[in-house]
Amino acid sequence: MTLDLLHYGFMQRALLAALLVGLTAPSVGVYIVQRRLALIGDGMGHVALAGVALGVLTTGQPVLTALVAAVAGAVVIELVRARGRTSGDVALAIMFYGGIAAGVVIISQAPGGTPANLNAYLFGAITTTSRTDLLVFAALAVVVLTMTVGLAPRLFAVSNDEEYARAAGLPVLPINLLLAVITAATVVISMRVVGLLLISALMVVPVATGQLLVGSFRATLALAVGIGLVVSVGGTATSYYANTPSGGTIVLLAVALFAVTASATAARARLRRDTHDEAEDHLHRHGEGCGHPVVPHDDHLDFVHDGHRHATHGAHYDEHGDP
Amino acid sequence: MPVSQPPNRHDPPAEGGAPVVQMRGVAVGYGDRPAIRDVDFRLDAGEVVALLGPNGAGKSTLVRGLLGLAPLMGGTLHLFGTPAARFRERYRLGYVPQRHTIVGGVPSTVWEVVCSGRLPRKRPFAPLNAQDRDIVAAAIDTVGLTERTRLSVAKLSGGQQRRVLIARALAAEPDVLVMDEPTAGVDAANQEILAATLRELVARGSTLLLVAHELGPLEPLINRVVVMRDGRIRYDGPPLVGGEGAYHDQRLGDGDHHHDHAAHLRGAASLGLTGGRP
Repeated sequence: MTLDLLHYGFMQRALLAALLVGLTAPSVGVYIVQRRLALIGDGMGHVALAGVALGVLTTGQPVLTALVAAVAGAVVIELVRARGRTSGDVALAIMFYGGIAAGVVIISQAPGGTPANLNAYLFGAITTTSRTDLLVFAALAVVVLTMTVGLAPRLFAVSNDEEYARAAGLPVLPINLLLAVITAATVVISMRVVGLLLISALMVVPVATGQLLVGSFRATLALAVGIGLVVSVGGTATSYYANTPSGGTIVLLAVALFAVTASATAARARLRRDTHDEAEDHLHRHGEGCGHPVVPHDDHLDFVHDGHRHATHGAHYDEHGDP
Repeated sequence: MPVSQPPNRHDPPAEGGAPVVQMRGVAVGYGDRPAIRDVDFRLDAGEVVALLGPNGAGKSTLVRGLLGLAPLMGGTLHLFGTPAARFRERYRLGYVPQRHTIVGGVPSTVWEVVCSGRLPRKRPFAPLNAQDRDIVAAAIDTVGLTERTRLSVAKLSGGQQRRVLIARALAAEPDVLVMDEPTAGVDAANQEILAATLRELVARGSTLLLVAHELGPLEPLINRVVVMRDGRIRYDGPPLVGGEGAYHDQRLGDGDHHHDHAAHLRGAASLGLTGGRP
């Protein structure tokens, strides 16, 4: 079988759009997951639908109006969050549902406003990415990746501990607004292939999968982007052959990968749960002539330290019981 | 204008520059009601000050006010001689928050968290250079976590995570460390390591402001004590002979002291709270 899907212009554009989604969504999502706001992208998708509907009704260019609506929504969301009022939660809910309701009602008034059309915006379709869309997506992706990579330390610091960042004099509100705006841009990049109701999954699920496998932020980011690329491009290709909505296919692939990884790491953890017991707070480095008696223990040597036997294990020492 | 100077405290002459912190008649709070009022507080370079007092006395509010985390509702605050609103070098105040856990939704290593402390010294988009990395490595070494540099902070104990937060503050090379309850909820072994770390910092001439409920192993380091109660400073001067009980003898520890002392039996004994109250 040759890659016959590449013979079609619409498929080439869909796969390129999928590539951009796979790169950007997890690179923004890693900060969103870090601050435990996994559902915020979902809300921006709701608001973006109102912009899409306005675009369909007026200009036939829904991508640009979606961008305006999503960015405006993102700024409002962040300002509401910054005020920290308990009523903010309800204010956000009203905005999200107002957005999606307005979108549904407005789009029904458009000439081409059929239910099938709405489905494509909500759940993604492979036939809808135009050449202009692709150019806009590429420009947005460059901006998003410049920020998520270039400003990674700042985004990390503010997402990791906002109070500390403020005390240290980092510009917390501008950084939060920036993250909100690039999240909105990512929602727009994803609107053709993944769909407005499913994009949040592609920000969150690859990150959730990646962090099962590695222990650092940087590695999680790299792995999540890799997973994002695989499921996004793979899901788009699958939807061509299986004749399924691309967004749903991509997200199911991502969720399946998460489930397999979670089961595998859980099984591995069960196998590994042996007698491994790490010595707490070991500031002293054992070695020749360190003063601690050395005793043989099975196939290795232990150091006797304050009545415990310590065995070298990588960068730390294991407790091997009393001598 | 400060209406009344706290007892036992006179402003020493400014030597070697402006005081680190100068509060005059300060009120700090949330909403309409200030949690602390009429506070005159001065911290000079080289001092090791313990801010003591019962729960709700306003210790953390004072610290949050000077760090810019809680709004100033009255009075004046100068940091290194500059009015706080115009002060742009906040990294010179190294903040160690009272936090039992620093684990976010995504794993991060000791190295990554401590590096974030270096950022305020860097311009946006500027990567850490070799000198920055040396400073970060030295900060991790100071708190004795070098062997765990590449480990996820989620795998560390609570006391070790507290030390990561100290290293994060040190990475900015601050002029003063402001620590909120550094020993609260930390087991005895880790308290000793914390005390050793702070001893080393004091030996290097660091300025420390410690908010504390009880001093424990940190007591020998302190050269000035400020006691707060009901949002005001009630004592400001040298540590009193007789340990923490001495401050209680000045009628500072009775009244609205509601938290569970079961976890502090050792400290309670030294506070003289297990017997009758003064």
